[in-house]
Amino acid sequence: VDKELGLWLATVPATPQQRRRTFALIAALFVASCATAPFAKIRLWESPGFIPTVQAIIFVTALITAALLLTQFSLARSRALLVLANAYLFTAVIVSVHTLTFPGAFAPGGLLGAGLQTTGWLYVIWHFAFPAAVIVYALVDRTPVRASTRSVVGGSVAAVIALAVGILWFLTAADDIVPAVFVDRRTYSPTALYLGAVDTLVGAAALGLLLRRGGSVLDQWLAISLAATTVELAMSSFFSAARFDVGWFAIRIFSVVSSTVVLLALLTETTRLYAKHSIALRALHRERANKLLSAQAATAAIAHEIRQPLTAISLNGSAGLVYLQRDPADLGEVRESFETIVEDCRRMSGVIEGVCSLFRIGDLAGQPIDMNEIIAEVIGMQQYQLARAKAETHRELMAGLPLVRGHRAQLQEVVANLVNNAIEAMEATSDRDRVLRLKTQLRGRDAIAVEIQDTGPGIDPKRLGEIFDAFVTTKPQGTGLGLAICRMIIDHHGGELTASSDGKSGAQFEVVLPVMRT
Amino acid sequence: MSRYLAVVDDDTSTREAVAGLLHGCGFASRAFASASDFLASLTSRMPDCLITDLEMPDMSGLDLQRELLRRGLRIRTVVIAGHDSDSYRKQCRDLGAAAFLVKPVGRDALIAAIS
Repeated sequence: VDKELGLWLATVPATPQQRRRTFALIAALFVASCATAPFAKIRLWESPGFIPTVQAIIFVTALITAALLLTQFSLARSRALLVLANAYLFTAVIVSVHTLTFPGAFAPGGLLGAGLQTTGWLYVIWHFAFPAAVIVYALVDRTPVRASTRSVVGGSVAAVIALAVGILWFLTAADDIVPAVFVDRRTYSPTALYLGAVDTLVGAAALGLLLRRGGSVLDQWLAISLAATTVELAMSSFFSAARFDVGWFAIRIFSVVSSTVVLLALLTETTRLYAKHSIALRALHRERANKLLSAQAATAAIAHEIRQPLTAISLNGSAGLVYLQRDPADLGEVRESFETIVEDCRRMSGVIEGVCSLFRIGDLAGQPIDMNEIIAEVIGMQQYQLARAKAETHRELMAGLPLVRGHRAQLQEVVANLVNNAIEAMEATSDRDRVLRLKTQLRGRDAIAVEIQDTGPGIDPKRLGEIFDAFVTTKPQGTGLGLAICRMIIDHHGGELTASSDGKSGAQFEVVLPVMRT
Repeated sequence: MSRYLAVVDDDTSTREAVAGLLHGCGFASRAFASASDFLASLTSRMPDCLITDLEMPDMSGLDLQRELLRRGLRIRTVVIAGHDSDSYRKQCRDLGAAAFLVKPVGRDALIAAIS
């Protein structure tokens, strides 16, 4: 199960479809930045409040992303995840410092003793550190960390915060020494262009590395995030000329996109993985319960059936002994006893074979069951599969449908199996709507019919007769036991399971069950 | 007077095996495939002991016991059941059965129950 579903976002390999989506989104980002570029230098209004607002978003998302990635690290123990988590943590710390020191945001010259160059340099370092960390993430060896995760997490978090504080301290203390990135509070210096170009190159290198690797689902979203960072840096280096021009505002928007994308992916993919796992788990439980059930029933049936011949064998053996002990022994009677024993043994093995081949459900007492209710339960359980297959459900359930007598879990299994088959069949449908039609109605006076119809490719009419045989399957990954068991269950309920199809426009399965006698 | 036993069982092989063993042990017996056949035979001869299967179609071992009580006939009755069940055991006792045996039945248990 683990291999099939993938345990962690960081290790689930991306599907070709996900990769195409990545390229499309990256292309969209480039188009958006190209469309903005000609207007980048247009001055807009000065709004210092914009920075705290936008960067508060970046701070919170980066912090949550870091926390989620650290959690994944502590479970998966991947060095790469640790690096990435700390890159986000560093971003969160640096962005908060950047906001506090931004001139005009909280104080005219910025807080924390900021000089003219402080914010500019913080921006350069922030945008250098993140892509650089992604390069490390992509290249670091994938062997799991052995040391205690608590001390590794604690140590790295402390180091990241210390690093950010150290950088801030250095920048404020050495404001006159560091190369100037701002000429005045609004205008970039030529040095800013070079530093921006370096950052852009690092970003592009990280992006290229991720795209070449193909890698995991996480890599895909990280690539989109880096693409946003790269266009942001290109915009800031080559197009935006000063604070508060169109380019400068665009930079902030790309910045938010870049910081949000991985978080959104983490949340949605985790939820999706969770749903997949819980569905798989439920299916497993149901299957196990059913297996147990048929094993119990088969055992009971065997026990019940072999007691008769076993009694006869035991009594005939005793009779044979009695005749042997007579003086003289009555060999004619002894022979008769032995012949009967042999015959009873043959009968007994026939019983065992019969029970095994049928998984016979001994005494099917059953309970009153509303098939409409069973359908509602199954649809409820398969909601996720239906949504994923983009299939519509049309229900025509007869009100006041008579009850049937039966075994709830087994009938549920039958309907679930048929619905599942229908959904799987429709995954191949692209030229028309995917519609799952469920219908209940009276069939004569003493029976009801449940129809399950799909708009999949249908079943070759020539094969309709054999699809209920055990081990015959039309699916690439099926055991073929599903429909055989379904038919067996319906047979035991005194009903009939049939299939019809024209081999083109879909298949229809019909379950007919006798109405419960009152 | 030699004892006469009646065997009622819808399953041919069990019925014949019980009758065969009884014959070997020196008992005179007659076997019936259903409770109603047995009841019909009562007009000609009353058995000293009845050995009946519990689960039979139409008329079960319990039904047969009830019917005998209704007619006011007291016959020593041994019930043979397909599986053990406390509730059946109790019902049979309450209706006056002398023994409740569970298949597969051995010779000693059967002989002990009828004597």
